[in-house]
Amino acid sequence: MKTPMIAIVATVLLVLGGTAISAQQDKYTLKTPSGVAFSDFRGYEDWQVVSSAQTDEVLKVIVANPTMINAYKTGIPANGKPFPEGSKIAKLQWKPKKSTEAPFAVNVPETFTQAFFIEKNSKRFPKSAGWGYALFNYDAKADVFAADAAPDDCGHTCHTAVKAKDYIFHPYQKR
Amino acid sequence: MTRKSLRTIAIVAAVLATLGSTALSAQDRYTLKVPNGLAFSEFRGYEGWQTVAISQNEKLVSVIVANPVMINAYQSGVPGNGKPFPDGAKMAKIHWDPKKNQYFPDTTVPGALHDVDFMVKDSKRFPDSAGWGYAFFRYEAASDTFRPATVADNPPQANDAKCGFACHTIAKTKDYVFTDYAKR
Repeated sequence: MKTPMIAIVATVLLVLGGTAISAQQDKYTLKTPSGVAFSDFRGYEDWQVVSSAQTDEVLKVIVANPTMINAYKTGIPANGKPFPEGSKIAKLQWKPKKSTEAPFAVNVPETFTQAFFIEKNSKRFPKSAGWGYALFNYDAKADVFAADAAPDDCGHTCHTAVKAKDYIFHPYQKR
Repeated sequence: MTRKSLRTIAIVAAVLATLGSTALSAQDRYTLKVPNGLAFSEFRGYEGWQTVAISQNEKLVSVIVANPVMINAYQSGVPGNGKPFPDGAKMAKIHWDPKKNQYFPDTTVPGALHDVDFMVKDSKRFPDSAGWGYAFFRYEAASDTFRPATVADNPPQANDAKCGFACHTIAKTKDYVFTDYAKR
């Protein structure tokens, strides 16, 4: 009965292999209800820091792609010029926790919760001053991302408050 | 020479003098060195390093960034997998004074730069502090200059590269590094 045993082992291995493959979500296949793809922001995990922000409930880091970082360094948007086509910026949000290790009281990231994205493409987003908005929520328990149900979060409506800064709230922080 | 042309020359000279002194007074931070310790230039390029995580309390806002050697180590599972960070790993903690966001009053954002702290792994150079060297540079916004921190700063910094070792020993099981790479 050796052959069936091999067959069983092979079947078990196949199932395990299939589980491993299907358990790993490819977040870059996701799209927002308004059609902005997560893959537009591929590589955001490694972008450079623009700034950070905190409320009582959320820790945030704002990062941007090289096109946008270079634009910031040339003085945009304070010099009155808009960010160039291809500029992309992400706001990454975590639920905070009190550090149990640091020798002083300090909040550090606990669970990753959301990734907000904005990209400049004037032809594609003419109605919102060239900027397209996307929001993906992260479910830490299931380790999966999902596009937010709102068409584009509050996106352009909220960012109109900073129209004079080409709709971008955060300045590049001196370091 | 007319009075007008003399005045023009005087104005041009004054402008040039002002421009010249401004250019000269701009500090080259990379010439700084902790006495008998690390040089700022050993961390050249930290402005563009990738984010490890952020932290914040009532006194300071910080972003922790690391060089590619250290980011790659984090992404391969160090230090959670029990392995130490490799030689050449470098990280920086950038501190700002907190300020209220002008658009969202419940949000705190970075204000003036406060200090930049560095760590570098070099087992041969820092055998007495588990391979890590530490440096702490205070930034003075009024004069737009950096200076090595001293025992008068908080936390007090003696003039050597071991100032961070005492505190970081709490995180010994994580190769003396407090900050975890934050999932994103």
